[in-house]
Amino acid sequence: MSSGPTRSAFLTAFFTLVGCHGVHVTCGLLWLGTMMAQFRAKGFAQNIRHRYLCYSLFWHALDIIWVGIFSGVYIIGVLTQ
Amino acid sequence: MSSTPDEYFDAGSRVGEDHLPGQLPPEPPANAVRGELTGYAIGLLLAAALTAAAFLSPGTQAIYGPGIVMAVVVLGLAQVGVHLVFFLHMTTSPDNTNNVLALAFGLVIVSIVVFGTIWAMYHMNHNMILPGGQTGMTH
Repeated sequence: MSSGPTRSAFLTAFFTLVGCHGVHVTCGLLWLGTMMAQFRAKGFAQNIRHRYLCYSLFWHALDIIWVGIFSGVYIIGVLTQ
Repeated sequence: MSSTPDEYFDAGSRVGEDHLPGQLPPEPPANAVRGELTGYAIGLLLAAALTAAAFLSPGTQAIYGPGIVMAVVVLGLAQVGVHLVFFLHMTTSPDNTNNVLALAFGLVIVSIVVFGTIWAMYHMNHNMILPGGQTGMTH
């Protein structure tokens, strides 16, 4: 039997969570590339730095989600399996 | 077009500082960049240490076995605090009141969603009639 998301509620939740986090990280990496291109094209102008600050808030908020995922899903998942 | 002088460099420590539209933000203190780099370095070290401790905790003998789950939860919450303070620049200053309120509101909403879901699903499970006349109580 395959271990896809249709197999059990755990795997449904697991793939949903990992997929959602992957989408967010992908968006963040695209945003990061955009910021690098803007710094390259326009220099460290004040308005570009402000955009970079907004990006930094997004990225570190995503980091907080990651702390929850590796603690709750991976470590506690291993402990209670 | 921006009215802010370009030499006002900061990497985000003054998130949420208030100034009226069109007015200059307060001038950052001398050595602002150095201070911010120090803050990010401390945050990185703390986050790395807390992550390492969390991943090492399942295999260690240093923690009472049944308490390891609670240790992981505490390490995770500590790391969330480190991120909020050193990376998201939450402070207790008056300028940051709106950010703190927004965080509190977010926590309330997330708590309602998470615990409300668990509560509702528990009762769904409790009341569900399975084939054969059993209820979902028998796991």
